[in-house]
Amino acid sequence: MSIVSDSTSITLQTALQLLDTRFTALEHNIANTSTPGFLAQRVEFEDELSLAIANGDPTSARAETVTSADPVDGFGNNVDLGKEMVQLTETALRQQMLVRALNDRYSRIRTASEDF
Amino acid sequence: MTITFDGISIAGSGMQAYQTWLDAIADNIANINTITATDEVPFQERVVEVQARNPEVGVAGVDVVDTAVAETDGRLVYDPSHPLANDDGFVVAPSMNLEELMTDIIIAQRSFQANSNVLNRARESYERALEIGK
Repeated sequence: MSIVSDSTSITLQTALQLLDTRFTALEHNIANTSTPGFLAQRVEFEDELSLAIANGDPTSARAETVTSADPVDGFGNNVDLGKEMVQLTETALRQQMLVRALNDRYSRIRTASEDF
Repeated sequence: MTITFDGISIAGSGMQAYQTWLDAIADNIANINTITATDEVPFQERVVEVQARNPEVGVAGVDVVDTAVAETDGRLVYDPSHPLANDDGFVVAPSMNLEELMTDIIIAQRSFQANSNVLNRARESYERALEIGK
């Protein structure tokens, strides 16, 4: 573990990666809003990530994809476009937050290394 | 850390599928008044068959599996003055209804917009990721 790859940066990177999995699932759902028999996919990782952080190895957290149990329409599809767009916005904002935190971290390291 | 640009192609696959559907509906609406003689095959409604891709193998998204025609018998309309009318005065109109087609076109259009919105969000999100460490 060095100054550039400390546990904070690793945690942020892992969270970014897991959020990307959720992003992909949401996009998959939106692409299939009218596909007969398609069930929305949900990606869960928050609980596991916080557990992994507590155990000292954030990278061990894995995203779990589950099928939504929401009621289906007449074509056996249960994608709710509104819900998906809301989650997409939320995921995008969280992603921005993580990127900002990472950049903040790196700029502090840069400031520290400029002093020499 | 693996970041792929899958988001762009997933939204792209959605846009493509809904575009195909829009085209099919447009063709159906254009032919809503296509009258045929009783001994001819009436206009057949275009249908689009889609299937979700399996995200476990390859990129997620949606695929147009088939564009087919719904085999329908059409609807008998009494119009004795029509040049195609048979001896009893009947012609055949396609068995589609405009209300259903108009509803479908709104669904297809809104879904296309949603996917195009997703494409923009994905692009912005990747741009953000590319700013890491700048």
